[in-house]
Amino acid sequence: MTDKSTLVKYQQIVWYFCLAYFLLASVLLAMKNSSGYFLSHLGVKIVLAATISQLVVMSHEFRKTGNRKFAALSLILLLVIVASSAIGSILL
Amino acid sequence: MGLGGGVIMVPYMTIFLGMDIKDAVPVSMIAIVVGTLSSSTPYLKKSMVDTEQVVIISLFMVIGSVIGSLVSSVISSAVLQIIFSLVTVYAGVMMLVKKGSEKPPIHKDHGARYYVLAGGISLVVGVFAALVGLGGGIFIIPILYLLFGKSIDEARGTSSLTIGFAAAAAAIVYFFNGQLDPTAAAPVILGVAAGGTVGGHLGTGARPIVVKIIFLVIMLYIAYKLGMEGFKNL
Repeated sequence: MTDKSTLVKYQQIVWYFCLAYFLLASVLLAMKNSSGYFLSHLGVKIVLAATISQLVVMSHEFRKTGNRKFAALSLILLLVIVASSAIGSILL
Repeated sequence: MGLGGGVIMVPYMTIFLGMDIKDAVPVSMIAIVVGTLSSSTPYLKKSMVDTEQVVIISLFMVIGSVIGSLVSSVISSAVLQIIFSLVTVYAGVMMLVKKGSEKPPIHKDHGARYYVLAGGISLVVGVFAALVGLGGGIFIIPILYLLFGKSIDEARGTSSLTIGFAAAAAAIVYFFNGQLDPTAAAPVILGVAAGGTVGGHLGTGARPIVVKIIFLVIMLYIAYKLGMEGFKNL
C-alpha cells in the first residue's frame, strides 16, 4: 500500500472524536452525572466499531493500489477478529 | 515505542489506582486500541509502517492468541515465563549489537516462503503472548528487526498498528463478558489518546540508538518481571 492518505485521515478523525468524546464522558463521570456512564459505555462500543471499520478502510486502500490479495486479507482479518471474539465470548 | 503501553498501564492501575488486575487488564486493552489509533498515525505519515505485514501478523496473531487462551489451562505458564524471560534478554542484547548491513534471514524476495514463515511466526507469537499474558509488541519489534530486516523505526511503526487489532479482539471479548468497566476506561482512554500522539511524534523523530537503549531497558524490566513470576509459580 503506497497511498495511505485515507487511512491517515480516518485515524485522525477517530482520534479527534475520541479526545472530545472521552473528555466529555470523563467530566460527566467526575461530576457523578448519570450520563457519564451511558456515554462511556457507548464510547467503548464506538471505539471497537471504529477499529473494525479501520480494516475496511485498509482494504479500500489496498484495492485502490491494485493489491487485491491484501484487500481481501484485510477483510478476512476483520472476519477473524469478529469470529475469535465470538469464540472467546462463548468459551469464557 | 510501538509497544502498546500495557506493560506500563497495568502496573500503574494496580499499584497506584488500587485496581484489581482482572479489572485493569481489560481497561488496558481498550486503551491500547485507542493508543495505537493515535500513535500509529505519525508513523503512517512518515511511511514507517509496512501495512502488508500488519495484515499478515495481525491475522495470525489473533488466531494464535485464541489458541493460546484455549490451551492456557493445560500448559504451565511458569516454565514458559522463565524461557521467555531469557529469550527477551537475548533479543534485547541482539537488537543493540546487530549491524544494519546484515542480510535478513526472511525477506519478501523469498516469495511464498516469506508469507508462510511470517504467518507461522506470528501464530507462535500470538500463542505465547496469550500464554505469558503479554501484548505482542514486545515480541513483534525484535522479530521484525532481527528476522525480517526492518529498520528499528519501521519495526516500531508496523508494531504500533498491529497490536491494536490483537488488543481489539481481546477487548471485544472482555466487553461482551462484562469484564470491562467503561467508567474506569473513559479517563484512561482520554489520557492514552492524548499521550499516544505525543509519543508517536517523539518516536518518529528519535535517534535509533536512543530507541534501542530504551527498548533494551524495557525488555530487561519485562524479563525480570516474567522471570520472577515464573519462579514464583513453579
